[in-house]
Amino acid sequence: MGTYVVRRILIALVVLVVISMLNFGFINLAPGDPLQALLPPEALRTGVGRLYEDAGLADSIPVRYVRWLNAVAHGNLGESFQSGDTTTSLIARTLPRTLLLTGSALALSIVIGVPLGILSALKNRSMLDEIITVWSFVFTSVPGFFLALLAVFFFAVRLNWFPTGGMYDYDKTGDLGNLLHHLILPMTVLGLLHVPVFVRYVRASMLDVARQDYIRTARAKGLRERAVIWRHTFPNALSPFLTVLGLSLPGLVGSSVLIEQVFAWPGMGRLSINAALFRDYPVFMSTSLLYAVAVLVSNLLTDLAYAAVDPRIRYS
Amino acid sequence: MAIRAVASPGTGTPLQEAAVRTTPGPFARVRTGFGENPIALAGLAFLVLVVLLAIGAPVTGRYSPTATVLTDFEEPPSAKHWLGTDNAGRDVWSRLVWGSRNSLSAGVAAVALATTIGMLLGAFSGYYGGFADGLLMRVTDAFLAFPGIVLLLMLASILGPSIVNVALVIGFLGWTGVARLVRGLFLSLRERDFALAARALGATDWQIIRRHLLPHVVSPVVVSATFLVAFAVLTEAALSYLGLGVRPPAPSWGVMLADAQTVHVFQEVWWSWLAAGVTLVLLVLAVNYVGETLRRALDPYGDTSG
Repeated sequence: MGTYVVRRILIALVVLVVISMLNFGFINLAPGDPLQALLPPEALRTGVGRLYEDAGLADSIPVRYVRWLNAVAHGNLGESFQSGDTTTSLIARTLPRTLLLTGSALALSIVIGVPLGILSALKNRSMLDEIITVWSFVFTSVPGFFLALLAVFFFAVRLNWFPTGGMYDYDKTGDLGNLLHHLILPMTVLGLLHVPVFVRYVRASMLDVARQDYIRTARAKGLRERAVIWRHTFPNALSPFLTVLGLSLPGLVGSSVLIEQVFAWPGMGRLSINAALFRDYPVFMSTSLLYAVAVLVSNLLTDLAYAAVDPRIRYS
Repeated sequence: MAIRAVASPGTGTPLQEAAVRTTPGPFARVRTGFGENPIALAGLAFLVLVVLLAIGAPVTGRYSPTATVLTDFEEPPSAKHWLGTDNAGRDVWSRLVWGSRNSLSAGVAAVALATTIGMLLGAFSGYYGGFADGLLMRVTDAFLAFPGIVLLLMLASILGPSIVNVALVIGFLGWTGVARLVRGLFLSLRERDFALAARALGATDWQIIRRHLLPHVVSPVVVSATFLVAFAVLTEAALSYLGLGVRPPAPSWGVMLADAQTVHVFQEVWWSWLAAGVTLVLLVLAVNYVGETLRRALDPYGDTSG
């Protein structure tokens, strides 16, 4: 077990370095640079060399990559070209907002998705099952940003129930009720987009377990249907749940980037896209690195949790 | 069954024909699949309709998609402009029809690219195994582990907005699923008796792959390519929405949706972006239903997660 974890961490580190190389190469090869994005053309024409040297952009990409990697290894993620804030402080500010949005959306999608999946499996091939299946089919087919646009259009613009975007009204920063009022719409959209993942998984898994011999045995020895379902089927159907949860996280993070964009939610997704568009190299590199770390860590934890839950799995 | 087989004229013996009849071929299974599922049939009809409208765009579009008519500015839907006009005085129906050309061709080109790369790498990796196989699996792991949209945004912003780049980027990102699918099938196919027999008869690797193994993966690849089309059309829309896809004023569904980023258009000229969004959702639903039906008909043991 110990060696397995060490090996997985080492592989993850290698993958991380490769991802960072690709990211660094891509964003630096992209046309334009932070100075072009920020300064008027005349300023660039007159003082080009000095400005680029001052900004540390005069060297070749490999040289700059090694310098960046060295700084990161020493815990220095650099400063934003746009605001001059340290990248660490920008992330410290935006990450909790993104976690609040994705976390609450994930909770909502589990709360809705798991019961619907169970219901769908218990009433297999019924009208209800069909409705749930079609419903989750529709929600896997709707592009996230369009669902978000529709939600804003109907519930914010037409009905005026919720604000159209942002996190607080300008005069109510820090007010919890105001925050929740802003959170409901993006959270619901993101959550609904993620519901089908759990519906499909729970339904398929419940039906699969229901076919097992030990379920037939449980029925044969005269157990009540309730006991068969809740004591024998349900816990076994949920055992790979952690894996599904872990594997679905990159998708959730991916759609949260677009949702943040539509709802003007000032989280890390917006920070990252904004940094990519303005060629704010340090901010972009740090946020994409953080995304990659999060995904790799959740993959690793998923596998380990899997082993902890299911005694048949032993890593060596 | 057997009696009808005897009565029907055919080339084989009655017994052979009966056997053929009880195991219908892929086309017959697909036909039955659509026959039993009216929603899927409606989806197929919708797809055909969209493709026909796209092909006949110069006629079916009724107006030019980029011509601005200043007298018909932000008109709501009417007999003259079926879906109204947008904030630049352009006919929304026309933009929708012409836009379907860009959206569909970006989707189809991306899927062709992804499927080609995926099949080649998957077949190679599954057939030969070894180091290349391990490497491919790690690469696909990395692709799966990465939030796709972030990579897409990055690549698209680097290559610049154009429809060719959109297709390239989506194709580059979408091949991993097909590669894993083909690899998995090849791992077991290469050990099957007919593959061993072909090898024993002196067939070269290329002959075995092309003549004996590839035909077995066509059905599942067709199914997975169908779902990929949905993914590609959605992704084109998302990229164009963010200003990284098809370059305005050229029409595409994503470009039309991007108009909603202007508060005035979003709130007051809602028909101009709603039409594109609804069509997009219907198309993706249709593709997914068709794909699901194909999967049930062609690949009964396939992965249910799609």
